[in-house]
Amino acid sequence: MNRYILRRIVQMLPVLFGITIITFTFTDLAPGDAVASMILMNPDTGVGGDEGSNVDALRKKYGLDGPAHVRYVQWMGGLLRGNLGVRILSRVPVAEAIAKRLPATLQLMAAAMLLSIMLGIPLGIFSALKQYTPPDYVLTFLTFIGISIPGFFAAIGAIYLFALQFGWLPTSGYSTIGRDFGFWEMLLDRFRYLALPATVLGLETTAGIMRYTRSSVLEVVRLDYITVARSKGLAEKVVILRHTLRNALLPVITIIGLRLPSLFGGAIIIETIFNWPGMGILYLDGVETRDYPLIMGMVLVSALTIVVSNLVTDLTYGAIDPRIRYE
Amino acid sequence: MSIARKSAGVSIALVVLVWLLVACTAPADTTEAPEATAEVVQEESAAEETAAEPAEPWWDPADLDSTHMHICTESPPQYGGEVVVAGGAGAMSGSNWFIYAAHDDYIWNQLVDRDTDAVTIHPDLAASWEISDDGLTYTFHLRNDVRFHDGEPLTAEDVKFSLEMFFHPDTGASHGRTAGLDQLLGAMAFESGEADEIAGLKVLDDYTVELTLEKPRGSVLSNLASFNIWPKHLLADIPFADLGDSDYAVRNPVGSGPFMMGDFEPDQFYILEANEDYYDGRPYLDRIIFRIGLTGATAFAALENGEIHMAGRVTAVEYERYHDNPAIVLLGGRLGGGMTVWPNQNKPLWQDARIRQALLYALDREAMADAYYGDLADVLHLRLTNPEFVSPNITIYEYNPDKARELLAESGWDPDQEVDFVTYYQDDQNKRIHAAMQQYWNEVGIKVNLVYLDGPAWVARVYDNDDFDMSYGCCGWFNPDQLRLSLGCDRNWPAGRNVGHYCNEEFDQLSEAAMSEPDPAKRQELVHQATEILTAEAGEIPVFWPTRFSAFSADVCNNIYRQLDEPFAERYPAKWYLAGE
Repeated sequence: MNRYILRRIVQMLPVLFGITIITFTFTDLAPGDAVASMILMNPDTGVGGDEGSNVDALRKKYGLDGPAHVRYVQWMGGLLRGNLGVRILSRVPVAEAIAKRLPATLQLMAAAMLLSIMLGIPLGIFSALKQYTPPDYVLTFLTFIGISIPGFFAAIGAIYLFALQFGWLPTSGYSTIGRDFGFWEMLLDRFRYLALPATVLGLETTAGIMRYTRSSVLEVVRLDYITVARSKGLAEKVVILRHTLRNALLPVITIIGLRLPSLFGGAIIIETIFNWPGMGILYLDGVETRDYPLIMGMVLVSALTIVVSNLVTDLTYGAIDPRIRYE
Repeated sequence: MSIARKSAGVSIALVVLVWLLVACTAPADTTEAPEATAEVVQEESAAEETAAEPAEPWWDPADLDSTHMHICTESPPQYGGEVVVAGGAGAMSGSNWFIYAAHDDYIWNQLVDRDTDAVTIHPDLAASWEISDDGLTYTFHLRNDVRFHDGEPLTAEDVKFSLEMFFHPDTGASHGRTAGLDQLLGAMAFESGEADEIAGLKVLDDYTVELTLEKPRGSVLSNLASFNIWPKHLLADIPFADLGDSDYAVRNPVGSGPFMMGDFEPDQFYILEANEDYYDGRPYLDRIIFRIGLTGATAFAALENGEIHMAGRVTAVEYERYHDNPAIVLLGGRLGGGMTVWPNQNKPLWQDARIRQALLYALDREAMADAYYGDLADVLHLRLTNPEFVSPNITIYEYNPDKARELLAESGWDPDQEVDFVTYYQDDQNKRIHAAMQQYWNEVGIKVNLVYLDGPAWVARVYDNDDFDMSYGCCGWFNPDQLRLSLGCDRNWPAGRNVGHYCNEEFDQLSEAAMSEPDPAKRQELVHQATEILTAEAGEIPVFWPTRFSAFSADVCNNIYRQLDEPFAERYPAKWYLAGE
């Protein structure tokens, strides 16, 4: 088992290395650089920009004058020493910039995932057991809506309904600014800001988990050992809980693990709309300002998220399903 | 089947519970704000009882009709409360105050300020000043009661340091903002490292500074109005090259202005707290909260929901929606200059003026302005939009496609060639406009290929590589000096932003002479001649003169927001107050 994990980790390295090369190449191929983005910070002003400022000196100052391969080697050298570099314009260490935003994104992802599991699994089971009845049709219809509505559209719709029309929740943000709350008030305050983005972000995953749970339950229910369990005269409750669910939920766990990367990607858009101070805003900022150390750092973090969540999914699967053993 | 019912029941119950919890807490924080305000108001009214009743109203009737000021005639000024602003300076979301805050009237002061008309100059740090008869020497007498937020007095040394910092090559600062100081004696020698001091910058005593110019400049004062005075005692020990990375620049700016830096949470917010010791009296508001990164539709939703007071620039959609909404005011006005097409005159294909004229004759700008902007734009004829300096005799190009075809035929235009129109204005409205222009030009035989790039890519292609036939972008000027500074033959990138490489030596001479002409009438005449030359040979293709509004809560009184030739127009945040009981 340990050897298996080790082997998987060693296999990750060339993948991650390849990703850094590809990202660096494409970032470098994109026309324009951080200094160019700075020149356009006030694009509409005509004056007030950087007329007369020494563009070459700025490029040199921000370390943008060297050839790409030299800068890549420098960056890689830093990475091997555990240093992700500094953001070009602000000089803030990339690791610090990411570490500051990562918790907010993880919080949003965790809330979305929790909501999806809490809703998706029970409703999926319900739907399966009620197969081809009106409640099943309604739920199936709703899942297709959930899967097909783009996140940004759902986000705007949710803001319009729950913040503007009903006035229940704030439109955007992370917490009420500049108030001193007690612990419970603070928790509730955070919760109110979290509710909309987490729900919207979890929408697609909820629908996905529900569909998988439904089909998985339907598959297992038809298997012989369920018939055997029933014919033994076991209570329906026991048949469903002990015999069906335990087996039906195995593939669902895989789905949950595999949804993590897409939650991460979805968070970027949802965060931007809800002004949520996570990685999303940072990511867009990085691309708009051609901040290559930041882009590299963020891509590396997302790539890690994906390979690690794949590994964890595989391991969990092995742990709960005795039929699967990794060597 | 009981399991099925239970599982559904549990999940629905959980969700309902969550939403109830969330919904129930909604009104909790709304009660707090009015109480806090009420307290402050009581204190204030107690203080006012001893003072005489103000004989005049607190507003100037002349400002009532202004499109860039919001006056509350129902509510007298009162202290307390906070205003929440969407966006906030880029300084807080990624870079530093030196890059973004050349002019900032929240945290810093300037020597002089522009009045609400944006033209008249009035005192700020300089209580008074004298200009010598030859227009070469400016003597500023500073107030002696101004302190930085850390308690240190602001003196002439700080003014000297701020200007030196600005001209020092290591800071990579921009001269666009101090164009009026380009003639400061010895500034260029200092900048190139030949001199350790700027010869024309003298501290006469603690509170007197003298500037000496080589040639007179009409815009010295208005440029100084855009120029922060920085605290020497906090910055002098930091090498100029490192200023941008300093804690001062990225976290803890200290100035002398009405507000002080308070809590700051990167990517979320920063709070400016009232400076109780502000030389001009404490600001009305207790604080201003900037919500970093809140933009677009989300910001307008937050404004409508009462979560913030200041959203951003509205599109035609929000303009229609807020037009008759009493809770929201739209402030703004016409831009300085506007949307313009630049034919790249480094390319032989545009060097014949008749072809550039044909570009203009071919466009029905009136119809496009109507169709795509409605109330929010007129036709632009010249990027200099200060009425005082626009000659009545500039050439106006009415829509005349036949004339355009004629001019193209005369000049031997090849109708089979295709030209690249490169822009980073890629929102829907602009794309429709570009398609319309493409169509108009196609009708007279100019084939245009639209190329959309994002900002940095546009800079690389247009500025760095000069690889374009036509470009499209915004804005112009209120200050006539910019004719020379933006369109001079020597103002190509990177020295300046002469995008289209317009070059006419006579135009340069006239506009240059105007910059240093002390006699206002003669100056006006020189600029008039320059504008006539520029328009007669269609040096640029001006298209629209937009009117831009931004949306604000009607609760913020004395709110000033305008669109001029630059983003550094005064906002007078110290005078803002919240309406209410």
